[in-house]
Amino acid sequence: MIADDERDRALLAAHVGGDPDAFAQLARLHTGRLYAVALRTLGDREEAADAVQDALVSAYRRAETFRGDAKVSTWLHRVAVNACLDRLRRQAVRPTVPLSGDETVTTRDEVQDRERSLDVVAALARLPAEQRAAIVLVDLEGFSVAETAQILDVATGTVKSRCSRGRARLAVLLEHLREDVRNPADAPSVRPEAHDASAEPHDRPAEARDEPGGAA
Amino acid sequence: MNDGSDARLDMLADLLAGEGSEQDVDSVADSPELSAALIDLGVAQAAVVADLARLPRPDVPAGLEDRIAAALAAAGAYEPTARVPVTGHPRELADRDQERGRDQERDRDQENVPVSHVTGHPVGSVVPLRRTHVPARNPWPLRAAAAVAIVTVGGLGFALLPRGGDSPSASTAAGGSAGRAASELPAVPTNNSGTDYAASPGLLEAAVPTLLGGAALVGQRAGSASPDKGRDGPQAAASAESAPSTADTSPVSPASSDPVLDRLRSPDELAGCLSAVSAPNVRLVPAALDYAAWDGEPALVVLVPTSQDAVRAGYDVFVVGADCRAGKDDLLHFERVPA
Repeated sequence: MIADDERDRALLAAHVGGDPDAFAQLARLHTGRLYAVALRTLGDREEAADAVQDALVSAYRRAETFRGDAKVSTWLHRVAVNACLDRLRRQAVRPTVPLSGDETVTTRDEVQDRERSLDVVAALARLPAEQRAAIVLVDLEGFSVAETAQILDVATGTVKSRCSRGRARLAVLLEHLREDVRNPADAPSVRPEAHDASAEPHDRPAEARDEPGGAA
Repeated sequence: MNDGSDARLDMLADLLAGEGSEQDVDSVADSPELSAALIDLGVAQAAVVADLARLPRPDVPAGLEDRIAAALAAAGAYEPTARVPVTGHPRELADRDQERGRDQERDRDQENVPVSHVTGHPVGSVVPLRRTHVPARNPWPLRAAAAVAIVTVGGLGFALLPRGGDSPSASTAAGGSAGRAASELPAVPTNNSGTDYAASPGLLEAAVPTLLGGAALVGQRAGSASPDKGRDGPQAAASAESAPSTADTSPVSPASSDPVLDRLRSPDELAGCLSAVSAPNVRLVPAALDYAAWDGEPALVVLVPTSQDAVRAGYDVFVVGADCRAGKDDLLHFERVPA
């Protein structure tokens, strides 16, 4: 929302101007959403918390690098997603399925919903890191494709492709949840031999392509 | 899925995203099976999007916001990263910092302290941090707090001690090893209060002047005979009631502190612990110690001056557990206490 971004910009400007509390306020406003993105991207609570902390401290120190051509929240998410992807690269973190031990489920419906959620989260964790990041931002956090492209620093077409490919993989992984939908992976191959089927349609260099469980 | 089905799936997904090639469009148009698969995939993707939308937003872990607030505070005052390199003799830099501090103090007095229109807090003030336990899984931001106390020039680190440049121990060359650092640790007020500083909010902050044992607080008004003189309100009361009353710079005589902390009385062990708490290549030079407790656990309280900036100066207070040693910080709590 514009009002939120104006508030965020005012806090960031106050921080750069020497207000010692402004960035902490900004951080509090965004910690929940940043943590959600980090957790879904990394799949580990402690790693996610560390990544958010690293990202916010980094943003605190590099506040002057915010150019103002995107929302402050977009910029913060960019720093956070980069921190997550860096962690995946450095530590070869394999996303795990975070179990929510804090929740108590009692009814049968609640149990089924919980199991379904765990299945979805587990499938999400099996996606290539950059497809997962795109899906988390677009489908879970509601960022537009354009904002997600800014966050991930890729073309909008790349975001669309990553999201669609990721959803397609999820559809296969979650096929057991839907008896009535034919597995789309069962269709015959018509790809010409010389055609690189795995290449993204846009601007990613070969070494930056998604690899299962990796971060490109 | 094998490579072929992966490629097929990606091709269909790209088409659904409007990012497929003309060749792919033609292929699907010519194949009833692929056309059906494309439709199936579209339906399945819609279901996936619905599943994703139903995922509950994860709760932020308890304490994360506090931990981040502590890390931000420990990161020190904001300065643009494209700053002018600091050069000059460390002693001159220390003098310059103090002079700049006096200038800022003068300016602040004249301007009645500007208040941020955004947060309502005085610009340039240092806000005490939380009093709850700091999860120290990733304590480097906390360690960075110590860097504020160090002016590094040409590989030499000089710490600004409370009395500034006038004291013989005002600057101490940073050592490369804990052992060397141990030999260079200055004598500091050492307390053995056994006080559990987590017992009540404000207790640790209130105790700082007393722990310093009369060492002049940077920025404190001249002429204060007692560190608590001039303080009003609950902090002063808390200090009078609860803070340790004695500071001892003579050889340590454990009074009330837990014997499990005795290992940290060894200069080498203490230096190793401080090296674990500090940022890489930064040496913490304590201004005071207290062998005390935190939340029921024996703990060592280490006070380190925060800044070369006299106006913003205060103390970084590290509370470490009995297992603090080289390579393991065992950090229980951190807070920044303003002068």
